[in-house]
Amino acid sequence: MGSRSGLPFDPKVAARRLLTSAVTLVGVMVLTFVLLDTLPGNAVLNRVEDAGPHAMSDEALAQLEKRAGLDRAVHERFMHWAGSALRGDLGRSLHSRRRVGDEILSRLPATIELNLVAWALVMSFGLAIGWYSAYREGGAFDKLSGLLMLAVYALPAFWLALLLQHLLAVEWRIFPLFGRSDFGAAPSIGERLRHLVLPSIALAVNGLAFSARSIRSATLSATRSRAALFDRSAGISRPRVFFNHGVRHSLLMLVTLVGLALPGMVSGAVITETIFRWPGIGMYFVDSIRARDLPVVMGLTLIVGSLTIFGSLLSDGLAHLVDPRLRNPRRRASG
Amino acid sequence: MTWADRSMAAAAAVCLTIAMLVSCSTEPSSDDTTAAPPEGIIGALSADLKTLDFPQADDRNTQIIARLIGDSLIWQDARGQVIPRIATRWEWSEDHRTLTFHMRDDARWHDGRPVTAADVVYSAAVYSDPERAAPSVVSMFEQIASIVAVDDHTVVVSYAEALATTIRMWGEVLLPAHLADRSADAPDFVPVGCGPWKFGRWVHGERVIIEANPDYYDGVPKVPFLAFEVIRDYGLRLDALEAGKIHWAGLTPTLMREIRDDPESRKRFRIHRYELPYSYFIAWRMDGSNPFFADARVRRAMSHGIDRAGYLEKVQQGAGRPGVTYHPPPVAGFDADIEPWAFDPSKARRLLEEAGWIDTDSDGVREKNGRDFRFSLLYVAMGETTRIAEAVQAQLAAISVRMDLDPVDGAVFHQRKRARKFESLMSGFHFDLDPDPFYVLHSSQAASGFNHAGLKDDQIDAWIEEARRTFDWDARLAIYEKVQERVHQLEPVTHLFYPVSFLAVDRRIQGLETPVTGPLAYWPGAMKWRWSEQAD
Repeated sequence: MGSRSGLPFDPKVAARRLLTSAVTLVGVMVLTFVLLDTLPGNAVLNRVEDAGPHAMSDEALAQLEKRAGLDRAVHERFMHWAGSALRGDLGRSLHSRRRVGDEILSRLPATIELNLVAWALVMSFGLAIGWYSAYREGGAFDKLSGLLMLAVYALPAFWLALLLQHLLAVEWRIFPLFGRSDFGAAPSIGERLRHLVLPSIALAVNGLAFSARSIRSATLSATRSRAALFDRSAGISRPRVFFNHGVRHSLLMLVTLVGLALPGMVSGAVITETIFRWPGIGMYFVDSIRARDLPVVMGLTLIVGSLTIFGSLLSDGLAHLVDPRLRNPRRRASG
Repeated sequence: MTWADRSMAAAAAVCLTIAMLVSCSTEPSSDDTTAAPPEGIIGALSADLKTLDFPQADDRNTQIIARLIGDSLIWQDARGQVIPRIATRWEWSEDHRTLTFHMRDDARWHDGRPVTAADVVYSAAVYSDPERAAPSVVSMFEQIASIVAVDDHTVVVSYAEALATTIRMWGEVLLPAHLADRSADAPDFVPVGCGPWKFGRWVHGERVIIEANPDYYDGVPKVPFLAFEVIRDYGLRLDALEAGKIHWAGLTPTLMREIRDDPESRKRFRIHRYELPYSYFIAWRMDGSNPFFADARVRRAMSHGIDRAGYLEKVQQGAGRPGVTYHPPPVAGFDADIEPWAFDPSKARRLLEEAGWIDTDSDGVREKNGRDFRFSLLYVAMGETTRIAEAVQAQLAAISVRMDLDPVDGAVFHQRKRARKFESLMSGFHFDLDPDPFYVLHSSQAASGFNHAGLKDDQIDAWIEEARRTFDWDARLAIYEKVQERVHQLEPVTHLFYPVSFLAVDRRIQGLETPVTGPLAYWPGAMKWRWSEQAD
C-alpha cells in the first residue's frame, strides 16, 4: 500500500478498504438478523410462557407480538432497526423493556476493564517470555517456558479458572472470591485491582501461551535472516543484532495481535464471568441469544463487528507504520 | 550475566513485588462465629434484576425486590392465605361483582406522601396496560370492568365476572400516582415504594441493597439493610457462604450435604428444608393427535411404569415427594388421601395390553394396528431435566415402550409447546397458592394454554367454573377435592415429583423462616429477621 505522493498509505486503497469493511459490516448485521429471526421462538412468547400458568389467548399474544413489530416481514424489520441504529437508537430489549444502549452500557465497562487487564498481561508477559526464550534459544528457560506454555495452552480455561479460585480465594483467601468490588462503599483502586487479578489471569493464560510462542517464533525467524547474519558477520554485537532484527521484526507480530485483540475487548468471556461472577457482557450475550432478544443481539453484534473491522484496519495501518517495506512498493517488490 | 538476563531478573522482581502488594489483604477472618455480627443480612439471587420498572417485572428476582420495597392492599401469610395490608377490610357486593376496599390512612410513600385511593386507581391502570406492565399481570387486571376512588381511602372495583380468585390480583404492589410522569429510563431513576424497605442501590450484575424504612406503618425492620449478591452458580454460593460473603442462600441437595457432612459448617449454618408449590410433570397429549395417549389406561400405565420414589431416593437424595395430583402439597386443598399410582411395571404391562399395545414381534417395542409404541418427549435441555428424562426413558423401555428424547432450548420449547408440536412434554410449574386449576385443566386452555395434555372433560370444567364462583373457602376446597380425584383417574399428566428446596442460613440469624411461600414472599417475612450475638 505504498504511495508515490509520499503519504504512508495510498488514499485510493484506503478508501477501497473502508468501503469493503462497511459492506462487510452490513453483511454481518443482515446475516445475524436473518439467522436469529429464523430460529424458532421469539422473546415475546418466551416472556409470556416463562411467567407460568395464566391465560393468554392467541389473539392477545398476537397483539403483543404485533406491538413488538414481530408481525412484519423480516426485511421491513431489519430496515426499521437499521434506520433507528443510524440515528443512535438501538431500540429496547424485548426481554426487559429497557433501552438496549442502557443494557449494554451497564455491562460494557466491566468487560472492557477485565479484557484490557488480561490483554495487558498477555502482551507484557508474552513479549517478555517470547523475547527472552528467543534470546536464550535452547537454554533452560527456553525449554522450560516452552513446556509450560504448551501445557497452559492445552488446559481448559474453565478448569484453570476454578483451580485458581479454589486455591487463591477459597483455601488461602489471598484474593477475593468473586465480583468486581466488595460489598460496601465505592471501591478503591487497590480493591478494584485485587478483584481483577484472578479473572484476568484466568482469561489471559491461553492467550499468553499463544502470544509468547508467536513472538518467540517471529523473533527467531528474524534473527536467522540473511540481513541479521550479515550484521553479525560484520562484527555487530549479538544483543544489537537481536534488537535490530529480532525485536523490531516481532513488532509486526505484536501489531497483528493488537488487531486481533480489539474485538475481544468487548465480546465478553462467558466462562470467566460465570466463575468469578464478573458483571460483563459475555453471559448477557448468550442469554440474549437464548431469549431471542433480537434488539440486544443486534446491538452487541454491531459493536463487536465494528470493533473487529476497526481492529483489522488498525492492524494494517500500524503494520504500514512499522514496516517500511509495506510503505514503499518498490522496496516491497525488491524484497 | 548479560543485559537480557538482568532485564528479565528485574522484570521478575517487579512482578513479584506488585503481586505481593496487590494480594495484601486487610479483610478480617469471616468464619469466626464469635465475632460481632454484621449489620445487614446478605443473601443470594439466582440472576440480576431485569429492570427497576417494576410493573414490567415478570421474573422472580425482580419481583422479590419489588415486593420488599412495595406494599399492597392485601398480601399473604405464611400459609398463603390472604391477609389485609394497606386495605384494612373489604366487602363484596351481593352478586360478588363489586369489591370495596377500605384503606388505612397512615401508609406513606418513601418520599413522605400519603398512600391514597388514587394510587390504587393509578396502579390498576398501569397494570392493565400492555405497554407498561408484564403480560401475566395484564391478564389479571383485564378482568376489572371499572375502578373508582370514592374518597381518599375507599376504592370500589367492579368486575365483568364474579370470581373468587380476583382478590389475589391486589397482592401486586401499589404504584405512586404522584410520580406518574417519571421515566424508568432516566439514569437517576429510583423506584419509590411504600413498603418496609427502601430502595438503596443496584450495582448491575453484582448486587442490590435495600434499606430499612423507619417510617413504615407496621413497624421497623430489625436490621438496617438487606443485600442480595447475584450468584448464579450454586457452587459459588456455597463458597460465598463459607467465606462469609453472604449469610443465607438456596443450595442444591448435593451441596447441602456438604454442609451437613462437615462439622465446622454445621456449627455455622443451619439448614432449612421446605416445599414450594412446584411440580415437575410429564403431559401426555391426549387430544387424538397421536395414537398413544387418548386411552386413560395407557396414561395410567405410564404412571405405573415410572419409579418416581426411586428417582427421588437415588438421584435427589430423597429431596422431594412423589407427585400425585396437579396440586403441589403446599397449595391449599391438596388431597392427601389420594394415593399416587404406585411404581408397578407388571400392572403397567397389563394396562397396555388391555389397551391393545402388545409386542407381537418380540422386538422389545409394543405395537398396535401396525404402529410401534414409539413417541418423543419434548423438554428443555438442562442438567436436572436431562437426568429425569433419561431415567424415565429407561423405565419405559422396561415395559416395552420406546420414548425418544427431544431436548431443545427454552425458546424452541415455548414455541413448540404453544403450537402443540409434541407428543409428550416434560416441564415444571410454580403454582400460586390459590388452588384454582383453571389455567392447567380447563378445556379452554387446551388449544394453546397451559393445559398441555389437552384435557377436555365437561365435568371437570363444570367443577372448576363452579369453584371460581364460590366465595366460601371450605366449599371451594370441597369442589377441588372432587376435581383432584377425577383428574387422578384420568391421569392426563404424570406428576413426577414435588421438589424440596434447601436454604443454608447463618446460625446467628434469628427469625428467618421458610414457609410454603419461601422466606420472603409473605408477611411479615424479612421484617422479623435479626442478628443475635450467639448462634442458635
